[in-house]
Amino acid sequence: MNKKSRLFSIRTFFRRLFHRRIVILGAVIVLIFIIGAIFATVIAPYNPYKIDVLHSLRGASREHLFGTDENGRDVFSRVLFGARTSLLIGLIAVLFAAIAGILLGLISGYFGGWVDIIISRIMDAILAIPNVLLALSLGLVMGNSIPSLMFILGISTVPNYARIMRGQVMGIRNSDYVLAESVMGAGTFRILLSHLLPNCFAPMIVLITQNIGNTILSEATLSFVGLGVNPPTASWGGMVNDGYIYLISNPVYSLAPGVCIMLLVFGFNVLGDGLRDVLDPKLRGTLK
Amino acid sequence: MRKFILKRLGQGIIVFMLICFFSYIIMFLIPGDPVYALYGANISPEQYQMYYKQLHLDQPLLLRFFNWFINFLRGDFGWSSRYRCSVNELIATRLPITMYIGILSLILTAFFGILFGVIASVKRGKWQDSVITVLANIGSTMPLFWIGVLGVYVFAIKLGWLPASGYTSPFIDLGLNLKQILLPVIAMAFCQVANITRLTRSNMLEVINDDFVRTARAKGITEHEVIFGHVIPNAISPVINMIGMLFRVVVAGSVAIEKIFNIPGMGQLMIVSITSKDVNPLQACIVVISTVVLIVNLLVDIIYALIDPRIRLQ
Repeated sequence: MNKKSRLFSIRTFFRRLFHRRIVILGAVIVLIFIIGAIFATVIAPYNPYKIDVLHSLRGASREHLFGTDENGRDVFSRVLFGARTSLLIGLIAVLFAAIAGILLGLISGYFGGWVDIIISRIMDAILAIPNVLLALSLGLVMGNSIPSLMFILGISTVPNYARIMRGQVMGIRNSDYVLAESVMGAGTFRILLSHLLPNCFAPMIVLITQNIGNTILSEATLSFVGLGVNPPTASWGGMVNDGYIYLISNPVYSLAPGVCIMLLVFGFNVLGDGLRDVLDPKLRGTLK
Repeated sequence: MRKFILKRLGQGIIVFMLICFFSYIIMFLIPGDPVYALYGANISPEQYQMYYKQLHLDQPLLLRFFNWFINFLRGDFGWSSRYRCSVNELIATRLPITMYIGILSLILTAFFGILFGVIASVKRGKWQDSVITVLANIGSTMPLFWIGVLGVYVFAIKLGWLPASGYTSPFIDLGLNLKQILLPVIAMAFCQVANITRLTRSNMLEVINDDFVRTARAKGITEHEVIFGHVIPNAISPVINMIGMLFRVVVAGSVAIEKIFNIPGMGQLMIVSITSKDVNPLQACIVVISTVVLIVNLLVDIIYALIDPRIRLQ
């Protein structure tokens, strides 16, 4: 493909992606949160960890946009730093899960037989344990530092990738071009990586984008029940929980982080739907 | 059909064993000594030896797992050091509460999800469709616990219509019970309705353009009969499957919901046993809940295959 036509295809890709206005909205929301998270130190009007007991639980005002929490910390600044936690954990957990799931799916779909049975039953077992429950019990074993949270949240979504990947691979494993390749003497590894993997790429990208939202929700749920990110690190779920008992004195404290979770998850979901419409030819044009 | 059921049953049993093994090894993976974790740190060396023997820690892991598993199958879940009573007792009082709320919200979810999905697909492109699609998008992004918090803020604190928390058995005071579970049930249903709506809508749209629907229309039967007699029966089976999957989500949701509304169910038991490192109830929770999920999914699969011959012939 020469440079010009590649440029053209990228342009068509974005034109198709942003064909629906709501996808633009989703992309803008995600972008705003990413910028907010990256430049949190610059944007935040206060230090999110600075305790000021004299000004605790103030309602929203000009000095404190979202008021202050029970320790007098500025809620707006903490929400900004919470975006960092959510995005970091969400993105890395999803990437980890995707890589693990895609590899497992490739292996079990391509080799079949016993390998497939073993991998599939383990995936079934992971799926049968409700993900929050799995995360809670793994958290007990591994502790709730941020890296172990990423691993824990990732693990429970591995079967989603593995299953779809397995189905995709099984669908094209016996197709003519794979057969031709193996007749021409290509090794298993080459077939797996240069033929089967790229062919399953589009549904995986879609699944990854859609799973980021769910992972962010799970992280928030864990932090909400007090078994996620450790305080004083700012996390949205934890803030909703901390603010819950102060709903009467400063409702914004508990409600604002919830709105942020909603917006960010909404952004990723809409973006995921947009990507699906563009990348998954089977569904293209059916959803307007 | 019998082969299909036997195969699914066999798969279910293997998965059940795997889950049991997983919940068993948790106890040995937790940092710290299992004897101290179970009986507290201030026990004498003699007691330590006694408990060490009692837990069969001197035997190999697989043998211990086997013994533990036999006890488990007999329905003996051990002793809770945190609550100072048998785990069986804890599960027996808590599981019905979680199931009660979970099943009620699942019924609400299925009803409204399918209803909205059907309306959106039949009125495709009209204002009803847009309203439902936008609401479904919003609903699936709201964290369950936050809907709970919002519900408490609006209906308990601002309006004062409903109690903010607590649980009374329906056999003691049904009216109070209904008032108390109204917010949790609606909050739980709220997040899931969106998923069912989206799935129903897309399935309906897929079927609505099929050849046999066109044939049905060409025969001259009414639109009403086309939708209810041909489209819905063909579009609904993946939705039934999805509802089986949702059961898992509902159980997971109980962790957050029971915390907000202070309901003494399985979710609360899990959090307390994790924070107090009380392993026996946690193991029992994992196995009991996962088994219920497994059985529900198995039943759904079988019903699915019974309704839809395409599945069992695959």
